[in-house]
Amino acid sequence: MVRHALPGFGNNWMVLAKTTALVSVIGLHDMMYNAGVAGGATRQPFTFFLVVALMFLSITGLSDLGLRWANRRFSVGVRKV
Amino acid sequence: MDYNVIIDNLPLYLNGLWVTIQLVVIALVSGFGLAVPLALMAVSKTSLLRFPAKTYIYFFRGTPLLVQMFLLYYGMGQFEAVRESVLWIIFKEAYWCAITAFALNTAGYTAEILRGAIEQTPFGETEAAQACGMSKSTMYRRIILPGSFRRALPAYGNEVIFMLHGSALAGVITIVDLFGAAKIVNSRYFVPFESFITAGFFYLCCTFCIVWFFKWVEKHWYAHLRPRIS
Repeated sequence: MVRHALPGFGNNWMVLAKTTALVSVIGLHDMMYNAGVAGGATRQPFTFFLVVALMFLSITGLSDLGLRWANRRFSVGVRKV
Repeated sequence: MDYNVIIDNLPLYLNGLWVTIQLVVIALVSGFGLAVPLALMAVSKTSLLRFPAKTYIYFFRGTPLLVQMFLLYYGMGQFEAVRESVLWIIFKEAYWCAITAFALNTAGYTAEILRGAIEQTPFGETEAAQACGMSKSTMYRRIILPGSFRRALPAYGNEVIFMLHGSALAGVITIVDLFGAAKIVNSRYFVPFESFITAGFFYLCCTFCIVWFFKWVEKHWYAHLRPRIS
């Protein structure tokens, strides 16, 4: 069951991880919000938002590695095409 | 529920709806135009072509749309060179920033969808094309691309709906789209529930239209796969 559910779950995981950036819009102090404040104060918004982008990229990259590992782990013994 | 507020502000919502439709349509069309060459690059055997496309797809699929939009809208003004070049005509307007961000974002996702569809081309089809003596470009034009568009259709319909939902982010950077209109109504009359539920209703209508449209296209493109009606 896990093997069949994994790709869909992985997709959802990635989408949700990226959607968390939206909480800054309603004022929660997440990465995005702090980057906006720091970027406004230093007049270097690009630098700060780029760092946030790279942090999100590392989160999704690590998740991808983990999901691939899980996929390998749960596909042991399955015949490949 | 205060219906009068909604009825009084209906023109504002309809204007917002029109802006939302503009944003989504322009972004989708230009994003698709960008996605086809990207997908072709991503399936290329030359790593010099494949690597940039893969990096592009990885970046735009790996970061939130909000971050990409803020990078363009707030970030671009940081550079003197951008502010003095012709690009500033685009990046000083929130409207064009949003469209650029949406187009680049949807191009990444669409390229990935198309890449998967191209790679799933049945081997027999390309083999038959080669046996007919088609050149590589003819084969892509006549066999691989039409077939992969057909295979990509359900996933692409999903992407169009996601783009519609994503376009609500334009309201965050001062654009008066549907969400922007809801924000204005909310702050003017302090009716958060009514204002946002109305925007939600309009988004729902748009989603239904998109779903129907893709059902209709599927009916035509999958006609040869339907059982024969006797």
